[in-house]
Amino acid sequence: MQDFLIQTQHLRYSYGRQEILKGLDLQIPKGSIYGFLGPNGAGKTTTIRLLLGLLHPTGGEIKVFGKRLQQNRLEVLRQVGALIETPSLYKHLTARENLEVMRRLQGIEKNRVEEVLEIVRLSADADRLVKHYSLGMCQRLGIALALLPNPELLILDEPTNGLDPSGIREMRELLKDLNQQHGKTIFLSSHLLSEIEKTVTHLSIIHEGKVAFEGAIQELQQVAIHANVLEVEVTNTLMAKEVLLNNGLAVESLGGDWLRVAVQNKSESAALNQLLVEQGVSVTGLVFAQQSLEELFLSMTETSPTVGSISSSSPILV
Amino acid sequence: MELAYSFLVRGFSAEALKIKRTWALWLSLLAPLSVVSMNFLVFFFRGDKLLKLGEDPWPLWAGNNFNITGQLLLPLFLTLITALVNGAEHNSHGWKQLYALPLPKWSVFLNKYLLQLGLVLLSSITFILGLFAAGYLLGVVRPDLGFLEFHHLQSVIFGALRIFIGSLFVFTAQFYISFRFKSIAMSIGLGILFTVAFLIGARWEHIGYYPYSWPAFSAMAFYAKQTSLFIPEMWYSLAGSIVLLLIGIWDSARRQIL
Repeated sequence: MQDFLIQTQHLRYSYGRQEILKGLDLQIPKGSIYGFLGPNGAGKTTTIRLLLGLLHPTGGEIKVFGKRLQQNRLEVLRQVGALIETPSLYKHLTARENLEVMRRLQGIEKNRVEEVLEIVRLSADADRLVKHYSLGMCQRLGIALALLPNPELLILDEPTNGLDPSGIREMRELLKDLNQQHGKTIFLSSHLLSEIEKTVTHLSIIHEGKVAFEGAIQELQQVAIHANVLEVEVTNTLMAKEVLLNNGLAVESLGGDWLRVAVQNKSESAALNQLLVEQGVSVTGLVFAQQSLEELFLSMTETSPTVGSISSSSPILV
Repeated sequence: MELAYSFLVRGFSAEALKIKRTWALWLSLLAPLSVVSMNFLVFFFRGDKLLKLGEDPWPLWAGNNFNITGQLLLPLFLTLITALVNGAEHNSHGWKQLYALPLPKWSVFLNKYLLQLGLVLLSSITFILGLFAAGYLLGVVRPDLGFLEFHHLQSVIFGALRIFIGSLFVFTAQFYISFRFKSIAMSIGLGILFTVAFLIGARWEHIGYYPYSWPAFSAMAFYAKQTSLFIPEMWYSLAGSIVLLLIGIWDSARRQIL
């Protein structure tokens, strides 16, 4: 059986009357880089705060390292390093002093400070005041703080937030390095699939407090491959629509003379073209389109999903 | 128990490092010295008008320092120091990180409390030392005032100790306010409001039950001829601050960080 470092079962959280998490089931495999994806306000930060014991769940259960968090908070947190939203840095201190504060608090060996500075490549700037740091450096220092107790599990809330493309790439390399060279399991949240799809091995997508997808990144790609559409330009959209609907295909108007039809695979386009022509509709354009991961993500997290969810077996129209 | 002790020792040293390059340490040293220096100037230039020559100058010298400290400057100092140190944590978004560490949640509150109590203690010791140093310096530069002919080691130290104990509740209250409220302006505003309320209501017969009057009452005990070390207001302050401290620790232990 696969080893899970974090497991949540029916995790619920309400703030006042507002239900933020509506029964979240997550399973984070050991050794993975697990992307936790969702639009702003979906409940990502709330989930992370629950995982760190900063908030108490309204219902459900959290197990970290197989132990219930609420009863074993200190023991569990000793093996967890966290970066929550903007890193908590004392700007009037140097990077080394910031690390020293956290080192003293947790009673960690002295030489660990140099080690983590090395890992996040801040050794050369360790004695500069943090107020003179760039955003990317602050973010890396935040990771260094999380790494200080040499934890098995890293929980990072939007580590690439606000970074420029080169900063994002640096962060991506750092995370891969931590995962592969140092054997850390990494749980990271993001609201942009494109930022993390090259990094993560597993991911979940949450939407309005529920899990819309969870699995390995390849599984999501599988879903995306199946979500194919054909965009057709015709002279008479009304007639074309009727023909297609009569043949049991899902159709959507795109505006202008364009229609979008759900298909199983590319070879269907020829048959569809023939069908339309036979019924007297002239086809002036035909485009086969595959849904990108990003579109798939968007379709999963739109406030009112249009036609069906990804899990339904029938072809999907967006 | 030993574990709790090690959490506190580590926490204190971590908190101490955090105030490096801030105003907190300087404020703790300069605030008492500024009171003493202003009084020094007054006695240096006007000492002969304030004192009857040939009489003991120490009671008036120490009393003047104690009064202004207890009534106004100490409550304001406590307001500022707590707002400054806790405000630095709010500004750095530090609470969430502290509460996510493998430390008992109560220690987050207590570590900070103990460090700031240490600063207040440091400030009180500086005050006593400054008071003696400036007094004897007056004895040298204005020998006619007679500062070198009388010595009041015990009564002056007792006087300062009374003020320290009498102000513990104000300290704990201001600490708690600035711990809970993110806005520094709010903490400082409330501190000033409560202090001014005492000055306005000072003549009211029940003012002795108002916490922000306790430092002033403790300071005035210095003038009383026959008095024990402790006066009732000091007991109120001590008991009140212990209760409030326990409430704060309890609150910190169950705190949720949104």
